[in-house]
Amino acid sequence: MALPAKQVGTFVPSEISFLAENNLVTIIPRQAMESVALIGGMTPSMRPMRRIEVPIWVALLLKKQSRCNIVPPQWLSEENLKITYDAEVSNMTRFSANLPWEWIEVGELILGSAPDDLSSPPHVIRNLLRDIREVRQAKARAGLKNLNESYLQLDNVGGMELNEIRSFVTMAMNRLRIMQSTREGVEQQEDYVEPYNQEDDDDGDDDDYNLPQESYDDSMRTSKSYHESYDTARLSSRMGSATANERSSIPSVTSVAGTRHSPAGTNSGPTRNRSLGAFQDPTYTNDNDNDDSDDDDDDMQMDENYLNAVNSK
Amino acid sequence: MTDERDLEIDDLINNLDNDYYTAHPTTDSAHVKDQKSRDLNRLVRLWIAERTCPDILPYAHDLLDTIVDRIREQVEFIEVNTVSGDASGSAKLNLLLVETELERVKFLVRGYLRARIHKIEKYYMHVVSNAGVQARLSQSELRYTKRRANQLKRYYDLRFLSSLPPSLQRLDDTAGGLQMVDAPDLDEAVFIRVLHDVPGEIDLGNGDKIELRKGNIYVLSYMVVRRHIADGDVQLV
Repeated sequence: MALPAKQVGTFVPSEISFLAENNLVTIIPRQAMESVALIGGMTPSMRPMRRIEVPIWVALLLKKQSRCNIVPPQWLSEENLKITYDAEVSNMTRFSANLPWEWIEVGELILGSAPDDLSSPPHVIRNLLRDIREVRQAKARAGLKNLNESYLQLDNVGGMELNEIRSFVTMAMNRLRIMQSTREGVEQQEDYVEPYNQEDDDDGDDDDYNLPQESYDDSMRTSKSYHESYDTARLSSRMGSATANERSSIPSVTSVAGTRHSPAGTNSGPTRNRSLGAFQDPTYTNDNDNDDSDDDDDDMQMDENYLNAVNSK
Repeated sequence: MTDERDLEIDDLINNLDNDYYTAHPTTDSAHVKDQKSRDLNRLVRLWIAERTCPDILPYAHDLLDTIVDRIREQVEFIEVNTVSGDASGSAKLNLLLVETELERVKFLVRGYLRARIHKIEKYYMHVVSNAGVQARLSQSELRYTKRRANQLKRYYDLRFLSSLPPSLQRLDDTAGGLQMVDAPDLDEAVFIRVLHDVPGEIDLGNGDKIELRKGNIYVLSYMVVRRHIADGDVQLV
C-alpha cells in the first residue's frame, strides 16, 4: 500500500491546494528582508512597500507574521468576479476563460489567510466565488451527459473542478470503452464461430483453451436444470404442505365436531381455530388438487381466526 | 525500435516540465526563469504525471539526484544555523522559510516515489518479464521489484501452488486468451492540457477526430496522446 486508495488515479483536495500554493502572488512587504536560498531558487530580497512576487506559500507565511500585505490577483476583485459571473451565466455550454486554472484554490487561500487585504468585503467576494462555482458545477454536471468512451472536452475548467470529476469520468470512460470493445469482440466472434470450435477440436493439448467455453456451457445447462428442479421442488413443497394441512385437519375436525356451532369467540386455541378454518371450507378436505388461491384464502382465514381467538382471550 | 523508444523516453524526461508556466497566466515572471525553480516545477509535473498516467513513466534520474542533493544542502544549512543559535528575528524567519520549503519538496519527492512504487507493485509481474519497462525503473526500484517477485513466488509455492496440479501452478499463464499478468492499460482515460498547437487532427481510432489547440483540456485515451505528451505539446493534469 504505497498509495492510499483514495489517492490512486486522482488527487485529494489538499494536494490540489498544495500545488496551487506554488503559484506566485504579489506582496507588499512591511519590512526589509534578505533574499533566502531555497531549493526552488532565491526568494527576492524585500524592501518595505516595494512590490515583489513570491510563491503563495511564502506570502501566507509572511502574512501570518504580519510582515507583508498580499495584493489579490486581478481576477479576484469584486468587479472582475461580477463580469466573470455574467459571462458564466450567459453561456451555459462553456466555461468562461476569465479565471486561472487554480482559481478555487487561490481564492480559498487568500480569503482564508488575508481577508483584510481584499479590496471588497470578504463575504462579497466569497459569495461571488460561490455563485460562480455553482454555475460552473451545473455546467460540468450537464457536460457529463455527453460522456462517451472516446473523449470529453473541458476547456477552461479549473484544477479543483477537474479533480472533482476526475474519478467519475475516468472510471465511466474506461467502463464504456470496455463495454464497447466487448461488443465489437462479440460481433467478431459470431462471424468466426465455426473455425473457432474446429480449432479447439483439432488441438488435442489445448484443453485449457477450451475450458472457459465448456464451463460456460456447463453453467448454462446447470442453470436450466436448476430451474427445472426448482419448479419441481416448489410443486412438491406445495403438495406437501397441502397434504400436511389436510392430514392435520382431519383429526382436529373430528375433535371439534362437537363444538362446531359454538361462536368463534369461545374458541381458545390456535389448533382449534386452524381446524375450524379448514372445516369451513368444505371442498378442502375432500379435494387434493387445491390451487394456490384457495390455499392462500384458507391461510388468511386461519390467521384471522387465530387473531380473533388471541384478541378475545 | 529500441532507439525510438529511448528517444521517446528522453523526450519525455526533458519535456515533462515543459512550460508549466506558459499554461499558468498568474505565474509569468522573471523569478520563474531561474534554473532552480524550473527544476522544482519539473518535479511538480513529474509527480502529477506519475499519479495520473496509467503507465510507469521513466525514472527522472538527473532531476531526482539534483533535488536530493539540494535537500541535503538545505538540511546542512538548517543544522549549521540552528547550532550557531543566535536567534535574531530575520534569521529565524529565514530558517522558517527554508524548513517550510524543505518539507514541501520532500513531500513532492515522496509523492513521486510512492506513486511509482504503487504502480510497480501492481504490475510487478509485467515489470519482471519486460526489459523495456525495467529500463524505466531506477536501480533501487528494480532491485525491490525483483526481490518482491521472488519472495511472492516462493510464498505462493509454499502455501498452495505446490499442492495444485503442475499445469495450474504458473503465475504467468496465458491460456484461454486471458493474461494472468496485469499490465498497465494504456487505453485508460487521462486528463490532458494542450500546451502547443498540434498540427493536423488526432484520430481517436473510432472515427472521431479532434484538434489539439493550445489551452484545450481533454479527457481521452492515454494511448492517443502518448506521443504528444512525450513531445511536450501536451501535458497530463
